Amino acid sequence: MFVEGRIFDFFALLISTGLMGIFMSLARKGMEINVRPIPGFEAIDEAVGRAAEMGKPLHFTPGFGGLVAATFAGLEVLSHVTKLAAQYDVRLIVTVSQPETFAVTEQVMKQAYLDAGKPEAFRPEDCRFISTDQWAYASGVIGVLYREQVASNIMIGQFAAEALILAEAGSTVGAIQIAGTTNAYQIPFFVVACDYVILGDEMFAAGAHFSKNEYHLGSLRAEDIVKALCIGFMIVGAIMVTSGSDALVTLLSK
Amino acid sequence: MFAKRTLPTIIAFVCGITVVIAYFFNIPAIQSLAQGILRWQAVIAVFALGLGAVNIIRVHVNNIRRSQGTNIYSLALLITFVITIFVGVFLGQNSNAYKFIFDYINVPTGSAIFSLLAFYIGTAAYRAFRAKNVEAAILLITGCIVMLGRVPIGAKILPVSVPLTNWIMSVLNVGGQRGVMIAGAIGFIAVSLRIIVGLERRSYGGE
Repeated sequence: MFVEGRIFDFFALLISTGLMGIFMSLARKGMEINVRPIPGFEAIDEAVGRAAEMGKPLHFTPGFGGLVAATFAGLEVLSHVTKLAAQYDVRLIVTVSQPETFAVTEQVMKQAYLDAGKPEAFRPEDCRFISTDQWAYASGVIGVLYREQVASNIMIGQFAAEALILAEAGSTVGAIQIAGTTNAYQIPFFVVACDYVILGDEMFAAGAHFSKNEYHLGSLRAEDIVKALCIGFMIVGAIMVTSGSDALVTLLSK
Repeated sequence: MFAKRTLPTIIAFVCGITVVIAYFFNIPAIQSLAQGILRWQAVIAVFALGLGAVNIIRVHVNNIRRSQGTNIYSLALLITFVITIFVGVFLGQNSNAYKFIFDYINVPTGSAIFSLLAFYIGTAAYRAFRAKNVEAAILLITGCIVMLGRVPIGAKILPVSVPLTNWIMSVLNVGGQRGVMIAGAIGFIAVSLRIIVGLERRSYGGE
């Protein structure tokens, strides 16, 4: 009945999902869950404030990915950034690389402007679909950064080899830069070229950080527990393999 | 309300659960349904591409209008946009004209942008390799060892750099990357779960 090699994966997913359900429910019932301050998220106010002071636009991109989890995390941040931009009358330019992400991004921006009480401030031409081609997208974003002389550049989502090109272009125009991705190969590039970096899974704390939504807080706590279980498995596995037992390896490959 | 919130949640739930079940279980009916859903995903993306094309035209027509015709970049984009669509639709993707556009315009311009990476890595490395604090000094020393260990002459200058590089890359580097990947994967599960059960309303532009 099971697809070969996916029995353990199924139960691992079941346990993770169960934990998330339990902690979401506990958070709804008032369980106190604290989120540690994440410098990248804290710096967003500074980035929007700088754009307001300089009278220049703010640029945001959720990256090169389609509708994947990292993009949704980026859109969560975008919603917050859009509300702040509306509040401070800052022009926000958003560039998108995938058509399906574009449709959702436009909707997220419209809703955020509406929530901020300024639906008329949304300019459809400031939510820009660039291209599905990776390098055309990169050159399009570079063009926006240079031509618009943005004061702040926020890049949170799914990024690939274009990450450094975008970050260096932002650095060249003198923008304050906040970046985040789960792509482990691109994080070092962001670290060297950006002012603030949201490292890997910190991105997924955006909802909990900004809105203090109990579902996000609950799932964040469950994520931490699953991470602790993974660390436990790694330590036990390393000890077992070192002592000559492959029982855990066999269990994981079931 | 139903069309904007409830219906997308129901569709996301049914599609999400079906694809998850098809991944874990050998049930032919569910697996064929999941294949159908994945095909539909491509069809929906094509519709969204139409929205993207309209956006491109709107942005660049506005640019040309505001600049009173002096914005040559937007003009060039719109002209090539129309020519490429015309060639693709009327002459076909196997035509010589289409192949010319792809081989002699699209590929070289893409390669030119990609080649920028080499220079950007140089400028980024220059900024990163300044020992301003302890962390930056560690990065500088590690970077120098790895650079020496990766070039043939490095083994002659500092023989120990080769085994040290292999250790840094296969233990420290892989360990750090796997940590990011595992934590990212757990975050992916959490976000996907919230979308499937309709708790991530922002994904549909909801409040």
